[in-house]
Amino acid sequence: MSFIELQDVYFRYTKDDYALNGINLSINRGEHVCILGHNGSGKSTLAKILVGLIEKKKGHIYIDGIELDEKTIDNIRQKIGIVFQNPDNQFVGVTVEDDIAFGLENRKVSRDEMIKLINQFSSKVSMQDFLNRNPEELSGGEKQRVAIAGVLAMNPEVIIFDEATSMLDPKGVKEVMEVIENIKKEKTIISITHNLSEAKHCDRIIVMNQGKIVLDGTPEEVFKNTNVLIESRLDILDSMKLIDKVKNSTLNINKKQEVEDALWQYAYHK
Amino acid sequence: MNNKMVFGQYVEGNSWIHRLDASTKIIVLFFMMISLFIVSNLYFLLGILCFIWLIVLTTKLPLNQFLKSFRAMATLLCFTLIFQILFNTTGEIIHIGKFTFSFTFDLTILSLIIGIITLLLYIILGKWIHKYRFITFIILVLLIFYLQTIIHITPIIVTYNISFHMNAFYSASRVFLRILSLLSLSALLTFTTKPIDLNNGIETIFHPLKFLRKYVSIFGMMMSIALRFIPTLFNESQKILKAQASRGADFQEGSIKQKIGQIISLLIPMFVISYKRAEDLANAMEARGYIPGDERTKLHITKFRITDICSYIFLVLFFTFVILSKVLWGL
Ligand SMILES: Nc1ncnc2c1ncn2[C@@H]1O[C@H](COP(=O)(O)OP(=O)(O)O)[C@@H](O)[C@H]1O
Ligand SMILES: [Mg+2]
Repeated sequence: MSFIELQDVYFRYTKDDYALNGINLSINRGEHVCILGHNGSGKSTLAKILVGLIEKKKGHIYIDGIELDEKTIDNIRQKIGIVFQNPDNQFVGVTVEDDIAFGLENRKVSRDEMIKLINQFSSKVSMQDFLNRNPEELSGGEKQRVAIAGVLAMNPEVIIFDEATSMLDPKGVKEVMEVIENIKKEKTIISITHNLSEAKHCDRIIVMNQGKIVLDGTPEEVFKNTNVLIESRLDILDSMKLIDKVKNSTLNINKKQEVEDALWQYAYHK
Repeated sequence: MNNKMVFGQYVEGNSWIHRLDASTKIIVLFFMMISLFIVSNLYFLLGILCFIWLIVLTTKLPLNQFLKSFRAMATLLCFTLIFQILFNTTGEIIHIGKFTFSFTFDLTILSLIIGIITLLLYIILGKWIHKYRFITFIILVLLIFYLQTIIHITPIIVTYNISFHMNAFYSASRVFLRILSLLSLSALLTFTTKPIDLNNGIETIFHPLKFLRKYVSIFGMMMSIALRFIPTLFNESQKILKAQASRGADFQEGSIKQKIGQIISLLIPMFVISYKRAEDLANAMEARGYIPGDERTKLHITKFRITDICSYIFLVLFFTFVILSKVLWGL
């Protein structure tokens, strides 16, 4: 059995419509998986099910060989952390250090240990000089880095990023992406993203549509399935051609990478 | 927009009072406040007030800001004093040399008419004198009384007899000193303690009470989240106000009906946004292992310094002295 295993998982918020409509998925330890899908395709629902915020209606979920249910939820939460989209709404502490400490306090970590972990992980996300700042004095990217530090301090094996960069300015996106790039080696990462240049670098891409997984494979494999991508309302083909042209052009474009990224963004949101 | 907005009255500083642990401050101030009501001797009360102000001076707080915090209570204080003086008629009448503080007023038709005219004028002119309304009012009242003492024109309607008694003076002074001391104490606490530290201090104090611990911990978390989100929501409401203003809403002017409409146009989006925030926040907290009422360790713990211990020693001595003086000498 793989590290994370979902077998025929169903979930619905209301009676008539399944937000997750039979998900089968296995993720190996250390993989970096990206999940793509248009708004409302069920990505966040999947994330919430994995961290036990909502309970599946049907099917089985195994994490590290343990089946996720009411009894094991506390145990499983130690293995899996999540960073949400809105930087403000997940900042629980009054200051940066309080926020990093929040999860540790819940887990009854001793104070000395807590201080050690706060120092260690605030440095890891380059926020060590901001420990006494309020959230009001931080940028979105800084707040997200604090959230990541808070999750890292609890030492989970998997971290889910649910559109963690989608509310940030380009600078914030860059900062957070750097941090993610940094922790990739140590953790299993599931990125729900709108950032196609991030998706390009994933080990594996999963495309969701109407609560189902419609594509699953390496970026090259996934981006070849143009019809499915169009069906899933990820209409990125024209732009992908354009991107190829930019890449191979002999034109004198100063910031090729930025133009390319912009095109990816445009492609995704079209 | 000013991002460094500070809520509550906290003034940044590094005095010994600032550095005292919040729970020490709360406990010491609490017992000081109680002793204010045990002590009834005027000189003793005056001594306590001076002592408090001496401590305030050592904190290097901006004094004008400190005094400003009394302004809200000034009206109440004035009324208490006036009532005490007017209605407490026990003890001997105050006199300085031959002059006794006892006056007789005749309310005559003429002064009544003058009084009514001034009142009307006050109501009409009051629109333009926003700032000194209360003082103007007091001056007018005093003037009317004064008029009555110098103008003796019949027919007399009523005759008042107002005299100032010693006991009125005492009790008024007592009330005055007590309220002023109370205000100074609470200002001292809120000026030198961050709201979040106050919250932590209260939690520390109640922590030994096992049967309450669960509720205290939930309440403490609620307070700390409120403190965390008030600035965020405040900024958000400013944004909404600006958005509404840019669409032509005017929050300064308008009839009451329009004002209510404007307030609703602020409250509804605020409510919707707060609800969304609350849902996200609940998810974030749960995902990070928060269980309401569960035992948690704390990053911020009581740091007992030598000054904390001295404060407690002082408190014990002071409170014993207050009790003893009450029992032995009835001070
Ligand atoms: N709290 C909720 N209550 C009811 N329906 C919801 C709730 N959250 C999401 N949904 C619905 O579930 C579906 C999947 O939503 P979601 O997982 O948030 O999508 P995504 O994250 O891919 O944009 C959508 O149709 C959405 O309207
Ligand atoms: Mg989502």
